[in-house]
Amino acid sequence: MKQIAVFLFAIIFAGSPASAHPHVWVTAKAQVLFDAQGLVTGFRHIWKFDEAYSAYQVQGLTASGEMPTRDQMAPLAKKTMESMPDFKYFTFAKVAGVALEYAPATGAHYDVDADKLVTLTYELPLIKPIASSSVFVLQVYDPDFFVEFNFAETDPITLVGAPSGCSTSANKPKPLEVSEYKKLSEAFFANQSPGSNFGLKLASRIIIACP
Amino acid sequence: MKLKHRIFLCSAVTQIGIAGAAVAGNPFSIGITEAGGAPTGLFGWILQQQIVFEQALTKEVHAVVASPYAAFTLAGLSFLYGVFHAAGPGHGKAVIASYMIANEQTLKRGLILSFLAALLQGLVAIILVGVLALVFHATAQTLQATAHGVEIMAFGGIALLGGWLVWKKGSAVKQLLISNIATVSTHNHLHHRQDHDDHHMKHETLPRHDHNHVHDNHCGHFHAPAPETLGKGFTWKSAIMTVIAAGSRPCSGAILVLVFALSQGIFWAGVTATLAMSLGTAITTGALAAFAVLAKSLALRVTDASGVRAELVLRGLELGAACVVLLVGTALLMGTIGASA
Repeated sequence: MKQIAVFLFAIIFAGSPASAHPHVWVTAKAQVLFDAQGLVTGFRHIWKFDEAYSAYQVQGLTASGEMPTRDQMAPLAKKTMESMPDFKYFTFAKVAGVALEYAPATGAHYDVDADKLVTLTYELPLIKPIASSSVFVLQVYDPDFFVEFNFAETDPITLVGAPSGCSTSANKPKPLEVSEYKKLSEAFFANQSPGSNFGLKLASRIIIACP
Repeated sequence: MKLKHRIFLCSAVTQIGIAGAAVAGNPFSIGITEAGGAPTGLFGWILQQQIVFEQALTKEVHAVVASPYAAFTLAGLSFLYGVFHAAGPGHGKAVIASYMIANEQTLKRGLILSFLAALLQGLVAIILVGVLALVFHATAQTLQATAHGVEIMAFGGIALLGGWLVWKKGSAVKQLLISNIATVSTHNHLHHRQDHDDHHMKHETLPRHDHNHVHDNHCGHFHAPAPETLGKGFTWKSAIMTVIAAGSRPCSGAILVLVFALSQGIFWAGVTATLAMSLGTAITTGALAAFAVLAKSLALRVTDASGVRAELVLRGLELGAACVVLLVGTALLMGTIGASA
């Protein structure tokens, strides 16, 4: 009957809720920036891309064999940063459950290292600096899961100019478990979109605490 | 039940548009909208396989630099990547399957169309990267803009195909309804004018009524659809339109492998990988097309209806599938244009 056809369509469209499978991999490092008063003013992101996407980014910028300079990559950096606010810079920071708001990013540039890997560096100022005494949580992920962000194994987080006694800890995500798949399945058939939080499920939680 | 399904369908189509909008505007997009799989059960597993294979592809391209024989492994991996990538939901598959329900009856033609669409998808990626990157040394920004343009045209093509199918299938349903209403009214009309004994004989002579009639005691009759009318509908024009609509949008994975292979000085390895990917994609979409054809024939069998009702169910099903193609195309087009605006 028609239900069968509908079921068929359901299968075809099942995954369409905003989730792609990643084509781009980023190894992220973040610096938390403090001012002289000990307030947190923002973050500096250092995102290193995977080999294939790095090759894509440098394509056509120089004669073959040469790697482009920071200046040669400037137009690309400008282009990247244009649509970044729409994606909230993939940066999700919260203090006591309240999401922090960002001012436009500054100082964005691409560099290519000796391994031909491309790194994007930029600073993301908070609209309102926050007291360092508040505990806050930082996550970097793409809700659409087109880009997979992973924090670097070594020094994922550094505190720049922090008052003494501040500490950070990174909680790695647990792999999705079978029961979780089941739960997500149910959410799916209840017509929600479980796909949209897949990026979040696999995102590390960085916790920053100061005395 | 039906309403629930319809709501589900509508939301699915809308979500395709939204997902399209979101990913196409991604700062790291390569110009192609990606609809991946939700991490639910089977789709979650498929998603994991894609991740594993796509990362393995990059490593294998390195291996080809060291030894050309590694191209065989690269082709094998690409083939599997194609199988899994196509098993995740995507628009091309939706178009093929819906088209199968709207238009096709035979398995063989479904498989051929799936194969051609997958091959075209690979060729578009090869031509895109080959011409722009290899010949003209285009930058990522140019590649991205061109891929995005190709995608918009492909989505426009899906919407056009859908519109054309809706028009064609809609007029078939309309024709069916009109001819039945006409039959009944003509019949009643005759009833009043002539007496019963006379009717059958007179009836035979009416030019309109020269097909099979089943007469019951009350002289009501049904049109039994001739078997051959159920099997037609295939035209090369519609088949080519489907292949273009479903296959002209390249996939991000292929573009990335091609550009990476080019950067390593072995573009041919990227071409090999892309063609193997197409073959893998064809296997999966072909299976889906086969499933669509079987589901359609099963649907007709389960309805257990004959005559006008069976044909109405069939035409209704086809019209529904045609509507899906139109909706998918429109939603994708709006989403993509919205994202680039």
